[in-house]
Amino acid sequence: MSVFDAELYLRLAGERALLGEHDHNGAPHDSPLTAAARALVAVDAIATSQAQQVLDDYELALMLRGQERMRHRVMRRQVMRRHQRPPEEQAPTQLQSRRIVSCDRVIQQPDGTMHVHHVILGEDLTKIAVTLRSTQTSAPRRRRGSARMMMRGGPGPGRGGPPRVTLTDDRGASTQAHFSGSGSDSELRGSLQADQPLAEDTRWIELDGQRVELVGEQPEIEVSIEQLPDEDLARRHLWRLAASPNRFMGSAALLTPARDALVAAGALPADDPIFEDVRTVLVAMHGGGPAPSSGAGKLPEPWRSLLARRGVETGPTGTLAIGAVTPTFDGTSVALLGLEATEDGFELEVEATPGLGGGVFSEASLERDQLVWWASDDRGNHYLGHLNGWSGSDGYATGSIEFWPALDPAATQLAVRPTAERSRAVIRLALSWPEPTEQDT
Amino acid sequence: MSATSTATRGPWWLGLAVAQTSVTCEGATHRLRWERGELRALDHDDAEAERTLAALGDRRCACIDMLDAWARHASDLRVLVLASRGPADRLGAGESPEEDDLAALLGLGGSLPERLAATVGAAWAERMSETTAERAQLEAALYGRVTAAVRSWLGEFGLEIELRMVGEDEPRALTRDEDGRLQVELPFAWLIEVFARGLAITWGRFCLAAASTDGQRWTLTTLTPELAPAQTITVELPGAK
Repeated sequence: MSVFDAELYLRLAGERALLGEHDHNGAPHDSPLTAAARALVAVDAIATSQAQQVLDDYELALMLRGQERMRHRVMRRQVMRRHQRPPEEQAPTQLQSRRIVSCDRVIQQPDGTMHVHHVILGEDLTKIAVTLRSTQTSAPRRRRGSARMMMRGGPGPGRGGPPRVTLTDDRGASTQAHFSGSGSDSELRGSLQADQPLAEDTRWIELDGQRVELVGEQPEIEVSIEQLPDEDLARRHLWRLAASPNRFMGSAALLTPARDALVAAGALPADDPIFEDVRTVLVAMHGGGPAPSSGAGKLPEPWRSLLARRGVETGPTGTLAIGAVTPTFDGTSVALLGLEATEDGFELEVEATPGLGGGVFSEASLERDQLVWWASDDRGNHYLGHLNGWSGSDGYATGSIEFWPALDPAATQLAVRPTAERSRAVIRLALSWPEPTEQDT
Repeated sequence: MSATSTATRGPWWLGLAVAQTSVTCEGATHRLRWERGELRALDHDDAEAERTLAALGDRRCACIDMLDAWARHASDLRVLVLASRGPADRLGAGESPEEDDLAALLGLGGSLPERLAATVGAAWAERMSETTAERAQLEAALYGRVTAAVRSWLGEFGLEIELRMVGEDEPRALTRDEDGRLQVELPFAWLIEVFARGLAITWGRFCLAAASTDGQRWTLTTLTPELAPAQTITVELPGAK
């Protein structure tokens, strides 16, 4: 019996790609060769660096044949190599604990209101979670996935753009803050981020002269780290693929190269039911393939209950201040700052070191897999999150994780589980929503 | 159908035509010429002196840069990944990434990229017996070129091909299996002996092996699309005795 040569397998797949066997018009991360490489790396059939070299070679070869998509990947990797430290040098720095104060204060403005939900204070940042509403238009429902925007200046919702606000602390320090968020002409939700951090222990903060008292204790949050149960590497990889919509970009067709590689490597038999199960999940979530023969009802948990509640739009709405920081797990540390729930889901504002695994660098590299964001409540429901937007630099990122489906209105506890390859953090939150203000109703 | 090579050892470049292109060098049009296994800058009499002058004067000389790049990549296996798999596989539509002199070399005209690939192939064919770590790259290079040639030859663009890279003196073969796949047994040396010389498909036949004693008169072992029997073709260049 011949020994499986993973490098040869990938190189032959690269040759077939050059000969035009694959459609390369998909999104940048939708490369069958990449999917095969990730699968082989996941089952330790090939070293990451060796697989990356094969990808580098063939992406450049495709680029030289005029494939614009590959040109972008090759250029990105050049940028990455120029500016990013090698993975082994990217030891995570400990994230700072933030002072996070719930406020629930509504400030009247000339053409509407600014609802201040909570204030985040740290050595390096001051950020205020707000909802801006215009009195000139009726308030629409906010939905997850609304386009995020970053705008500077302007008078606010219904008046041409989000606001620029002057913040002042109890030491007399003053700075400008700019809005980043999403919404409509009549309502914007997001945060005001200060150009310069204000005093972390300030007793109050003023927004354009309107004082908001910062009182109250930060809620106790239970954080723990769990090792993942021993599981077959190939199965773990396939389920991670199903749970990583950013990477898999909704194409069940890309399961095929991963499956072929795993079968060729002897990691799974070709008729293993997991392939059909994962395809069922991918098609259910994103489409992109023929209807699976088995329904979602036969899927293992948490997928079965997750998909069963897909499309539910009866979730509670509101925001929660969190302020939890995890210890390092699998080389990553995560901070949860706030949660915003809408009718059809919820969003977590997070920080992470060394990063969130998002953006062009992760697409162009096999080096680090992104976190998979699971959550579950005390009613037995499961939720799946994905990176919705992020910013940051080498070694640090801040962003938002968008979860679906909607929170169960009867749930009182939520366990958020950012999950890495071999371990995960568990952050347990109490779901207690502030009484709705007049503007919230 | 299988055949054993009767290739006669000689310089690897035997029978390869001269290749030449022009580049813009110091504001003028200069010629780069490949002949008998070597690249030369025809408009620079003393490349070494020019290299020194260029270094002292902090100026670039495109011809010398190309000679240096050629030397750096003369045994670089990335060449075989990036270079053309055959006439239908054209490079050059994409923009070269900056700082990649190999992409620039492969963008030269006048068949110079094909000669560079032949140079690299020859370097590795010489050391096949001591090659283990690079075997996957060599086999992939052979697979891509054989597959491109065979599919084009048979007009079956989805044809599945399984390649076994054999030793240079082992029997060479193309056979169909019961599932219609083509089983190919060829040595890495086929890349130089046949493919680099443009002999892969000759007179409607697939060339398994090519042998010559003088580089002028070539004996090709070929297969028709029925894959049997092997036929010998003799090709003679003008001026052959």
